[in-house]
Amino acid sequence: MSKPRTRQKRSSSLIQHIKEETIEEKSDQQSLPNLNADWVNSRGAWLIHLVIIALLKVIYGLFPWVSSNMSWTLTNLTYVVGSYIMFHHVTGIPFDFNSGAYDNLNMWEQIDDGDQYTPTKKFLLGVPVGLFLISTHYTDYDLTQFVINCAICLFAVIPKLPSSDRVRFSINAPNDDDDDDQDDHSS
Amino acid sequence: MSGLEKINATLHWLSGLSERVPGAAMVGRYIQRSHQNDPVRTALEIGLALFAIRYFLASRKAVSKRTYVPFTEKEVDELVEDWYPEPLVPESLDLVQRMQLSRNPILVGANGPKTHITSPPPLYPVAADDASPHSPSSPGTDSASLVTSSSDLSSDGELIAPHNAIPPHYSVSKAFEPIDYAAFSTKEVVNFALPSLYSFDQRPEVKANAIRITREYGVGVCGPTGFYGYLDVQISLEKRMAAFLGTEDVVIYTQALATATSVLPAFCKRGDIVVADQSVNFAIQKGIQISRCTAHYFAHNDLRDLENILEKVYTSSLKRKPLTRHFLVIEGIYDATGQIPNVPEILKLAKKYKFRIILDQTWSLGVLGDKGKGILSRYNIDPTDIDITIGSLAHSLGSGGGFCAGSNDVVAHQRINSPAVVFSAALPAVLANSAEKSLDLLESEGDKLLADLQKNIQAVRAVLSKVSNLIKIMSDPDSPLIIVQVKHEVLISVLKRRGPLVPEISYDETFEVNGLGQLKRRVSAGKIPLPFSLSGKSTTHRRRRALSNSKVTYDAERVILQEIIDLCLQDGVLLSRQIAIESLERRPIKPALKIIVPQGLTVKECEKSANVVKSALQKVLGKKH
Repeated sequence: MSKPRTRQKRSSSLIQHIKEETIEEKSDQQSLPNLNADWVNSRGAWLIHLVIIALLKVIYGLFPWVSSNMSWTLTNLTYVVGSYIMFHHVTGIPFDFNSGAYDNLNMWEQIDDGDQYTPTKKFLLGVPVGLFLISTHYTDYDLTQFVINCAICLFAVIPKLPSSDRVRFSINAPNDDDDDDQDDHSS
Repeated sequence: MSGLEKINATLHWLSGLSERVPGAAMVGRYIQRSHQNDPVRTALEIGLALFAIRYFLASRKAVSKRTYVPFTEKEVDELVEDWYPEPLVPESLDLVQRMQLSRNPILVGANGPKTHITSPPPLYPVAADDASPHSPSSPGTDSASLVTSSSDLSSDGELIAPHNAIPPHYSVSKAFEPIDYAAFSTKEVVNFALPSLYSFDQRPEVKANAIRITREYGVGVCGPTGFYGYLDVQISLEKRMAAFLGTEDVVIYTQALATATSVLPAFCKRGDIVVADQSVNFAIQKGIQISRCTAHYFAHNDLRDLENILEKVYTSSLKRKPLTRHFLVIEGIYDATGQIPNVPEILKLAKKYKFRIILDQTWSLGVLGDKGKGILSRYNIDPTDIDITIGSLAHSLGSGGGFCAGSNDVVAHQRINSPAVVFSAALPAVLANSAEKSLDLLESEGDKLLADLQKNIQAVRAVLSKVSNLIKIMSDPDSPLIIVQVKHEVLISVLKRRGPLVPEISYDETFEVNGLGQLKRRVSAGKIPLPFSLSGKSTTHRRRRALSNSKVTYDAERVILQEIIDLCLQDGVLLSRQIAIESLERRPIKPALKIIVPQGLTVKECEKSANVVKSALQKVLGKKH
């Protein structure tokens, strides 16, 4: 193998790449099944996305001051923001099975051991795209609503792209160079 | 024809399709409606749809390299068929390991400051020639087969063969010759290798109590406390221990070694930071490794190096977002060197840089402070200032097991989060009760016991200091654990004079400059790394070389020390040397003699035994040989 990867960081960039795990971390990741991410592959987990979208639509429809057009946009917005928090914002896992070996990865990166183009990932990317097409259709192609829905859709799709894998946006990110001298204090 | 007309024409053609393809009518209607004379949006939506199709059609792709090799069913079967279990003791032991195995004394009867020993049957004969006059009593064919079974027969055979196979200029070490077993059939020796300093376990009242408790409670408990609860004797020991140490609560561990390896992972997780002395004992090293935390090591007992590291860790932690736990790990008396840290200063630094202290009192409990309450009592430090205190019931208390003392929160956390508490069977009642009785004895007779122990320690040190031209006593004057290192220049002159001890363990002149010189510098800077590193850094190779270089002279030194130990044993003093599994230690362990002075001897006996050690040192290391 070539020399180990370190954190790739440009001097003034807001973009950072999470560095590849050490062998120790990888073996900790493989030591037990990742209960945080494995459930998304079951059928019920796919169905629940559609159920939640339908419920959101019904709930927004209950408010008299929300128009039918508006309720589709709100459904889209709620679903996308909710799934963003779940899949892309929260990192690590709530269980103590892997000695914190997943601490740096969000749920999307944990699904299917980080593989891309898996059936579940295809489904999860397809849902916001379909929701966008439906939303624009039912909002009668109103320009404002279209722009909002389009922005929401991009917000959902971009983090799911393979090129966004292990990329973090942050302002004033800490310098992680010190992590390299683990077990070997050298200064 | 404008672009708009073209799109309109295409849509018209599409609507025509709908009559031929079933279901296309609906799609056509959707597209027609959504077009709405807005080509930009249509293009965007088509682009999105194309992207989605491309994404759906792409095949699965792994991002990171797999850490495992995928095998077919057949390959797995083949591997399973080929596999055979490795022997517990590897067949190809090196010379020093074989020497060690042949030198394990066997105790006969009770262990104490004076004990009876016999020698082991030759497991791995170091000189396996049938013609030797000192041939072991067991059948020679057996011992020979052990040697000949190893693959490199010729070189190995030569190595362990007696004088005739070795060129005359080699002065073969006596440590490789078979022991004269006739001289050793149960012989009384003074035991300078006994961690149970006061031999509480040999007191009649403790023995009687142990018999009563065993009759009442049985030999052990069959599971963790989480399964079957606590025995009253265990709870009573925890309370007694907490009162003795002055902490809020104590949790008892079943084994001393498992205490540190379990307490550290219970509190430090990945991302947490541990700063530890570079000479911390094996259990703490393993605890740090298991906990997956980030570890920094400071030079042994070096407060300035410690402050540098604490400051660096503290300032860099201020920039990090999730605030992690910071721990500082020290020992009361260091197992590796017998030295005592300056706890008040360390406590000040820990408070300044917001570190929690984990203190290992394995050796200091029962030895230092008022009535043996440990190093905190010696320095008049409030025990609650130290967050976590760990220790052993197997050393001065003469029982078995370990303990961890701290606040109620620290202890309660361990009862459900510490691996050894949760998963390991609880401490047997008889050990818990014996430890409690030992604490009672320490409290009632502590002043006298500690004074006796100090007298003995000083007597031994006074004798040993007469040969201070040969040796360096590493330990603190108050430590019953006396670590004796051979002075570097003495060692070199001995090795030069004697030449290679056996062909394999030779002494390389160039090493003095390149190897050990470099090694010494590295030790003083606190930078000796893991023997083997998983991270695959570019410097690993250089470090490995330094380590293997150190192994050569260290092996030679070990043989010299074993000669001293053998001489002492002949004259009735049993002592030990630093023995470690090199591959598992963080840094190479400097060979040294390990003398543990027990309380149960008179000052005269101590002086006599120390004189035995002294003359053995003079005989092996002295100028005239």
